[in-house]
Amino acid sequence: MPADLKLSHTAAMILKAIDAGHIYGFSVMEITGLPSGTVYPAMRRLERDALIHSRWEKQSIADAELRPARKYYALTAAGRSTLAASEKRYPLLSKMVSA
Amino acid sequence: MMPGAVNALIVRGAALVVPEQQRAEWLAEWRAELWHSKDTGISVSLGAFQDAWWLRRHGPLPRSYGVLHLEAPAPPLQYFPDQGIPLVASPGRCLAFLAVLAVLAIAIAAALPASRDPVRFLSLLPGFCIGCLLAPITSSFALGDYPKGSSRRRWLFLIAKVLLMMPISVCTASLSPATVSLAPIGGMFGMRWLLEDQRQRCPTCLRLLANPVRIGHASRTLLEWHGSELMCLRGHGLLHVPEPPSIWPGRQQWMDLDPSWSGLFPFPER
Repeated sequence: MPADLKLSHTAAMILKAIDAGHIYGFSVMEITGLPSGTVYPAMRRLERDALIHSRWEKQSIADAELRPARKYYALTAAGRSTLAASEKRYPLLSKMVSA
Repeated sequence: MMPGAVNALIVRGAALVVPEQQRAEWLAEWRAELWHSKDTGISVSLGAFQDAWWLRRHGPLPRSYGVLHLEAPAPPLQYFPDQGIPLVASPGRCLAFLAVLAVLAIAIAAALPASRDPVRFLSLLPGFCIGCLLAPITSSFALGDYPKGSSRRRWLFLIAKVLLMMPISVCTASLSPATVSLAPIGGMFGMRWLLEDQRQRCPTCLRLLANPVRIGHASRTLLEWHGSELMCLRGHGLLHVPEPPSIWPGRQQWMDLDPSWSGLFPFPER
């Protein structure tokens, strides 16, 4: 995927949220204010386009905290360059989502 | 109903839309998300439908690192039925299959003048019942040892199968004078199949058990248990069928598995 890909504002916001450390779906929803029906499909799309990748939390960590293991998302190199391009396109993006 | 239960129900419903090979991982992710967002009502879980629909439309995603906590994705379990017909693996399909046969038998019997007489039809019912009672000649009536609380659904399922088997046997027997003997024969062999089918099913989800594994050796029959073990692909439990039944506990025994085992099964829906 080229770095100059024009993401929608929503997708760029989700990418920014993940980059800011909100690395699972519910956290992205909370910080962006977007509904789950928007966030999760958008994250699938970003993952399909190799802008983010996911990994499962280690079961031992989840077990120690008595909760189910989560799926975490992180930006790929392509995702970082696409985000940089999106921040030029949407200057307010960096102010909208903070860590 | 508690919001958590409603959320779980919504996500399970949405999971039916997700392609089967991704369903387990998708459910695990959504269950974890709902666990962390349990105070937000059902607004979060309703988004599962849009997410599931997106996956249905766009196909599988690349697999996540450490999928379900395994460094390398485990090969999915294959379905190897023991004796049952895969077509009737699910209880719904089984009943639908029998219902189609019953409707066909009734339609054929109604189309032939010789078999339209309801008195003739009723006169064949005792033959069918006698055939059912003779079924233990070829197969035991014992269904096995199962935990308490799971029997109601199993009995209802068995009764539904018998009720559907009845018109199949009786209508076939009523086609002509030469086929009258099919009522007891159909009853006997039909009942035998129903009982064997019933013994091969999970008491929780009523699906056919699969992947039989032989345990132990016949040559050590006095020293240790030997027989077959079958599993429910939904992870509900294991069935131990002794061989020969006369030495070790004669009845097959069901062992429930708790939800912590669900990660090992290909369709861990509960």
